[in-house]
Formats: sequence, structure tokens, C-alpha cells
Amino acid sequence: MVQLTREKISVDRLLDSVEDHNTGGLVIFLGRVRNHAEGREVRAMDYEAFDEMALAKMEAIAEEAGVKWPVKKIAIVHRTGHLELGEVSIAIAVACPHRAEAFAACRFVIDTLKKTVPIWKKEYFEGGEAWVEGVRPDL
Amino acid sequence: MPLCLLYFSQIRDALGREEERLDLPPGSRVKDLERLLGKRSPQIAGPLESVTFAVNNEYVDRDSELQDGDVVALISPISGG
Repeated sequence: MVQLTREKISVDRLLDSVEDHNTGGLVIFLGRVRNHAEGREVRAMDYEAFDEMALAKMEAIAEEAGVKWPVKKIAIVHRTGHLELGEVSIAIAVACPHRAEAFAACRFVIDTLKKTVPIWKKEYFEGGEAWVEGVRPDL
Repeated sequence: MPLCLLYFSQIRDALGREEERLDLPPGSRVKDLERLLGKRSPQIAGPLESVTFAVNNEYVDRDSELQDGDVVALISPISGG
């Protein structure tokens, strides 16, 4: 399952999507809105995606994870729109036969997503708002 | 040669629009488009330097030749996750 959503991410639904009795290792990563960034107090965040390309890149990451590790089920869900502190912006679930490969694949997915998927965030803080200075994507 | 340009985040904010159609001479490359945009819209000349261009959903370098009907997205440094 690869999705962009403007709704709150349901971890239950994420888990349902990676149900597989052939897998003993299930690793979940949740990224959420933190209350500080570079010494500034953050109050909320906006996420914006280039939907079509972001989905294509997320699909490609899921596929690549499956080539590198014995991934049986994988889910990548990124939220867009306005998020308050503590809300989940990204949820990844990877199910593999064993834990080591599930940890490695999940790590690969979040690290690669941050380097390749066209999504931007804007921080709201005391006295203003600003687009976060991001990283130039890997070609 | 018609192109469709897509803008996001700070570039979109600076230009005040999400997309536009633009005509470039056949054989134009990404860097020609970049030069033209920077000249026409000086408010994005700075940010353009850190933009990565994507053509039809794939990142490309500035030497890539553009084709008739390409959809060109200006991707500022990304910050998803």
C-alpha cells in the first residue's frame, strides 16, 4: 500500500495492510511533528506534495526495498495538509520473514524517501511561518 | 515547442501560480528554461539555483533536452518524511 492522504493516518489500517502469516518480523516507523527545529519552537506544520511524482517515487522505493530484502508486505503512507504537534506525517510498515531484514528495509524506505520524494513542509512558529530548508533530491 | 510548468512550495508562492504553459524553441535544454525563467521572474532567480528539475516525473540534469509537450516540475530542496 502506497498512499498520500489528507486524513489522519490510521496505524490500525496500516497494520491490516501488512497482515501476512509468512512474516515474523514487522517493523513500523512513524514520523511525527516535533515541537522544535533549529532552536525554534514549532507549533504546527503544513505538508505539500507533488502528488503524481511523489506516489511514483514511493512506489519505486517500495519496489527497490523488495529487491534488496525479502519484503512480503510493505506500506508507505505520507500525510499532506495541516498537521498539529504530535500528529503522524509518515507511516511505514515492513513485514519480512525475520526482524533484521525488516529493520533494514524500513530504514532504507524512510532514508530514501527523505532524499527522493518531492514533498515539502512549512513550519509555523511564534511570529511567522517558513518553508523548511530541505535537501536537493538525489537524481 | 509547448511545455507545461509546475510550481510548488516557495517557487509557487513567489510566482503566485501553480502552473503555466510556455513555448520554447525546439532543441531547448533545461538550462535554457532556467535562464529564461530567472530573467523573466527575478524574484525566483535565487531559489532557481537550488531547484532540481523533473521532466515527466523523473529528475533530470540541466543539460537534458526538452521535448514537445514535456511536463516540467521545479522541485525545490525537499523536506518530506
